[in-house]
Amino acid sequence: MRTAKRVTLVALCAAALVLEACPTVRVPELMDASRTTAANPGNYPLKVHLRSGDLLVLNSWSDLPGDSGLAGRGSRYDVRRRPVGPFSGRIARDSIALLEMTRGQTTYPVGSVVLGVYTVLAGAVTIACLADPKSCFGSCPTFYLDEAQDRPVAEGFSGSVARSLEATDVDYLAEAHATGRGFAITMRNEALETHAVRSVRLLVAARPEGGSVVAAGDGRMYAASEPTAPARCESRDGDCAALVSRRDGRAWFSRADSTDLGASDSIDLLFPAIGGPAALVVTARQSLASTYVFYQSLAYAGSRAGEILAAVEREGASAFGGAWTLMHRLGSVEVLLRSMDGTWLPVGAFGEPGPIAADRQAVPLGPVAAGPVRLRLRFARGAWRFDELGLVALGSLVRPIALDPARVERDGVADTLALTRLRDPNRYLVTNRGDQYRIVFDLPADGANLEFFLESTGYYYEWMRPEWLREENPAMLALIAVNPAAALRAMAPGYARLEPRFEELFWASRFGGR
Amino acid sequence: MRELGMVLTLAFSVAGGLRAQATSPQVDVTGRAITLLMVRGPQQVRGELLAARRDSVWVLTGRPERVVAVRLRDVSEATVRRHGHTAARGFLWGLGVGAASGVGLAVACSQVSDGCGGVAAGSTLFGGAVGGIAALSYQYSSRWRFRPVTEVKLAPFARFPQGPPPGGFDVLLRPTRDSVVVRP
Repeated sequence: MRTAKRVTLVALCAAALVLEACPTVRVPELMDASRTTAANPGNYPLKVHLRSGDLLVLNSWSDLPGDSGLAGRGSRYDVRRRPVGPFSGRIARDSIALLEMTRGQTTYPVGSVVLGVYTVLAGAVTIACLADPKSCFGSCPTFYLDEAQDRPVAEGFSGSVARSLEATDVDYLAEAHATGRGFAITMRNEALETHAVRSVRLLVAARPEGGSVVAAGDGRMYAASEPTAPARCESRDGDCAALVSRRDGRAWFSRADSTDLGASDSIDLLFPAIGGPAALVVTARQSLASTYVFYQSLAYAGSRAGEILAAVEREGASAFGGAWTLMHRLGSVEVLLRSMDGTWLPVGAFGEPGPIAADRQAVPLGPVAAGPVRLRLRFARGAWRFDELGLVALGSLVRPIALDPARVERDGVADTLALTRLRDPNRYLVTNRGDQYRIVFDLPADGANLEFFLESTGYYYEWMRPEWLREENPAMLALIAVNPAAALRAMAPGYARLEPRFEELFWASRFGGR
Repeated sequence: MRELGMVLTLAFSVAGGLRAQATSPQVDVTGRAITLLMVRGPQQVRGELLAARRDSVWVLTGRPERVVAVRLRDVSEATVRRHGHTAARGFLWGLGVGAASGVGLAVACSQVSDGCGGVAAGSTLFGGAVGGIAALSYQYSSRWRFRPVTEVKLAPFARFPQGPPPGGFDVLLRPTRDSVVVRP
């Protein structure tokens, strides 16, 4: 929705609140007893002040013929204004001291306008932030399918926090099901960030009979069998097989080490014999540990954050290598294969930046010897959530078809400028918080038989937050630069204090439920 | 859109309730609250306006409960309640909205970020400031000010606009030791 439209609606809310909540002033109008009461100026009852000091409050009344008095129904009060009881009858003119009518006037004091506008704005901002915390306080473009607008299915180039770190990210769209020749995905900027999106392409490949297509970390894709669940999964906490046997949203995870965020953890897997080239298929997402470390590092940089990012732009990641060492430690899962002689041999790694949407990647193991396959995953404790760990038999290489957007819509209207930019590899589509684009692709064949991958290329800039400036800490910044391992130890207690609430609230938020 | 729909519904619900309360066709059977600023004697007299007649005005004070009769020539200014949106109510409304919004924002902030401690406090303070502005406005708009003070101006707001009842005001007081009628 365009900003102008939102502002208009909020303004209408404010106007409604102001108009509805402004006070009504009751202005009394006194009349002689001899006056006719036919011209009642408002909907208020008629007050009849009697010479005795009593008061009649009449809800209905009429003048008696011959000016002899009034007839009416209502309530009677004594001089202490205690209710005497209901009244119904005639009142002689000579017993009436005064008649009082009430005129209601709605007033519009500045205070009501200020409070009305403030209440609506504060309410709108609070509800919007509660519904989508990331849009207020939170990274990277998020992608949604038409049928699941409340749950992102992919996040693009999360590690590209500067132009020099621009990268291409490929995400498997496990939940995408298309029928017919069209496919749409919505790209949103929901964070306090500026995104520069060079391209968004849909990679499609025909689904092999009885299997699927898997993508490896290097971007190559393979035809593969359906994943086989591990016969055994052993973690420090015990058996983890039930949680990782299939992609169902129930993930295995561990708590971070409260003394060292870089502390190592591992899972040992045993798969039945498969024979031939195989791959471990990992469906996982990062925990919030990496998010914490990244934002905390920016906070330590404080007023120097811009200077450091500028250096990264000029010189690349080496300009602040410590931070990347730190993020790599948290952002990578090492895969080891047990050889015949019992030694563990590294065969590859899994890595998908970002805590929002899980991604599936294949880690090719090469030809495996006959017999059960034993694998070990090594990673930073508390840094990952594993949804599925399966073994697949790898088939031939697959060359997906890369589709450029056919149409781009914004607020339901075709946006040709955005389309041009997304299709031109030399230009960027720049988005700010609140922007969203529905990107439509024309499929080369019926979507029911295709596997979908989203390829996004670009980078983004975080907006500096005032609270980060308050945490500027040159000593910690220096520690990150010269001794990343020690920095992870220093940050561990802070994350440990937050971790239970952090995860709980995160799962309770709109990003929960995966 | 959904969020704004919720806000709109909420706004109309709250406002509808407030308005229903404010415009209810009930009428006050007592006199309006009045404050008299005196040029002599006590600095001010506050209470319910009972009656105004020629050169006197009668006020039923709260604690102790008594009827105070005052000569109009001794009153420099009278303020009569105009509507129920008082300065205190304006301030508390702003403070309450700020605090409620602050709690919501702090919860939202804590889901994705560290260092959200100041959000609730900041929002509450801001709400208090907005409430303060509203309070200044209500302080002025919630009362009628009369200077000079005359019977004609005050009588419509009195419990007895026709003047004191035949038996006088003694009957209004509860039979307690403190009850006393101070005559001008």
